[in-house]
Amino acid sequence: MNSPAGAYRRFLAQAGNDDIDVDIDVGKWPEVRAAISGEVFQLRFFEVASGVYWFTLDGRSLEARLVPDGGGYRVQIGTASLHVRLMDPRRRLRAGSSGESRSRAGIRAPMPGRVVRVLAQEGARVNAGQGVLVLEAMKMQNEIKCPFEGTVAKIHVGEGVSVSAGDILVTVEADA
Amino acid sequence: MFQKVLIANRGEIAVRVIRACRDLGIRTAAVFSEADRGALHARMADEAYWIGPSPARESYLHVERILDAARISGADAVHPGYGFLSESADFARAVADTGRVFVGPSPESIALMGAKLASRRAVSAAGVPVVPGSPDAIRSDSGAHEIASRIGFPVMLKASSGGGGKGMRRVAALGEMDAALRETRAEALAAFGDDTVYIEKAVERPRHIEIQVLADRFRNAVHLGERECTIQRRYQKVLEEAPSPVVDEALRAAMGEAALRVSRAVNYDSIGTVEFLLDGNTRQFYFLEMNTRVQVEHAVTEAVTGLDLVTAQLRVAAGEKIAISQEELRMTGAAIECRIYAEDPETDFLPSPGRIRRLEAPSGPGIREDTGIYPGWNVPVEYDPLLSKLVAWGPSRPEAIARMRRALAEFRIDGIASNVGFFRQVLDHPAFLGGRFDTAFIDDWLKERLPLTHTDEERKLAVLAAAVFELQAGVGGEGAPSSSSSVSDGWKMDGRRRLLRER
Repeated sequence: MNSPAGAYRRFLAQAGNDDIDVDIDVGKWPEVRAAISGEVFQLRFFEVASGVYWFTLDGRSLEARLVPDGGGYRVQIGTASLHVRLMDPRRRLRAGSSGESRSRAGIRAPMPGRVVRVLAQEGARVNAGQGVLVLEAMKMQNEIKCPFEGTVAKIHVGEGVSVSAGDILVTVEADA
Repeated sequence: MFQKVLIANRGEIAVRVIRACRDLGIRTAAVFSEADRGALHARMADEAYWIGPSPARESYLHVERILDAARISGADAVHPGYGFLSESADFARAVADTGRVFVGPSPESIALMGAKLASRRAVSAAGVPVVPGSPDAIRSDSGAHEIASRIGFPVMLKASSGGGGKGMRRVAALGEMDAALRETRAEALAAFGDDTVYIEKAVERPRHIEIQVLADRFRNAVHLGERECTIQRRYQKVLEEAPSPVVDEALRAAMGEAALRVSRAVNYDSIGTVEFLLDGNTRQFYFLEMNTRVQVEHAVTEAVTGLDLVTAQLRVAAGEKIAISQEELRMTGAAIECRIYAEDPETDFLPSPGRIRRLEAPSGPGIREDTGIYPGWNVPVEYDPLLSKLVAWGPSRPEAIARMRRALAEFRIDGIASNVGFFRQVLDHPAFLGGRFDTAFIDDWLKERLPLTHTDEERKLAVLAAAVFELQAGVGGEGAPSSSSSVSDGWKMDGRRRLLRER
């Protein structure tokens, strides 16, 4: 791309399980030039509302809709819905060497609700997919499962307690 | 006609009743809990009364507080909607005791239909087929063994006070009976305060068909045809249509006549729904239960008959006669309803309460949306997840489906997850399109359903949109800053920063 380097910003994005490099110039907004994993897009955005961008690509009428979600964004394009997280590319090195920080992980509440039953016990082994507690929301009881195998290090909530989305419910020590 | 109606409910059905009252020139009084401060139904009503904290037990189920609101408002009638206190004979009686009209049938009809064993007996005596089973409550384990062996496995164990798909268990063989009895009794006692259970033969892979009835105090009654309610997830309806793709004129007449016999047998004098199980192979139908209130899916019947069921319900409650005869009633075209829930199909339908950031509702020919939400509304965690009911009508079933597809594609609910995308998949499924399904269709299909995916291009464009958003907000990214004041004006920047802060 032959634009002045100063107009560009660089991001490292995570979408799904992929890391994606983004070089982008919005200096001529609403026109945007971007190189995304090597593919170049030149688009003209119409801002329908804050976080809603309409544009055409090869004659197709498309819309991207963003909502902040868990430190990143939930982005919808047509029937596709995906989570995007943007980072400073300098963090790539740090992210790459942070394997050991995953050994201890908090299971967070996926939605607000009330803890109706705690199924796990501190010090007990849990398998991947095993239920650790039951959270009630919107008149439905939902079993919250441990995504990996490990040992329950701490249970942060008791039965009858109301929690917000994102609250840590249980900390699990994963197997090394 | 009434001067003022108090609506003892919330959400889309409260909004629906407000609209019916407006059409009749009746003033409306809403009630709201703490979580529903600013809710659409409270905003739309002429008057609104706070009735307590967020838990339903302390607000929408609290009889005294609702009656207090009725007294203060001076309403001369109370509409219960569906759910909450709508099928409580005690509530209907308490409303009547204050000198107000309960918009629904008599407390006696409600009580009889709420007791499943008693209603089975009454319906059977009226000559309507019921699923073969025990005529009385199961008193002993050995009695259960004897009855189940006589009618043949598999059987269903059901709580006499249950209904709506709750408090029931399928028993495939004699060896499972004792444990199933224990569990069903415990569950029934906890949920309904009554551990009476009975046995019915399990109808295998049935269709769930219901007949809408309308009756008045002068013993006039008409049926308004059937609704197909077979599309369910975990025994809860998600999509309904009228007419049913498997009901022909002769079966409709037979089921309609049976529903009217049920209605007459209990001196019914309101709108109500008689639910049947239909054996898809033998085309034999059996009485299941009667819902003595307005039904969630009433709008599909309105779409094909041209009637307004809620104004009709208010009129008969006010002592008017039914204005239409059975001969005049016609079903025209086809209608489908999708129940739009705050739940995430991609995470096993986890509930998704929270703030609606943006909302674009569908419209156009044949589309009706009955909603309880608005952009900026915070969908509470305390109540059921129904956001909106989307109804499509067309001259034929394929045309109604095409319109529903179009409407679902227009529907945008941002900020919380919904099942809109899930319905788009259901409406493409060959079994649905062919009308060949039973009550297990959704649960079976979900086992093999592929999650919604995205293309490489969609992933790149999503990343681009997120990067543009952050650059416009003046956050993130590495490199020399572009002139951010040229990116957008300060007012927009402020809006974006606010959106970012809220995350």
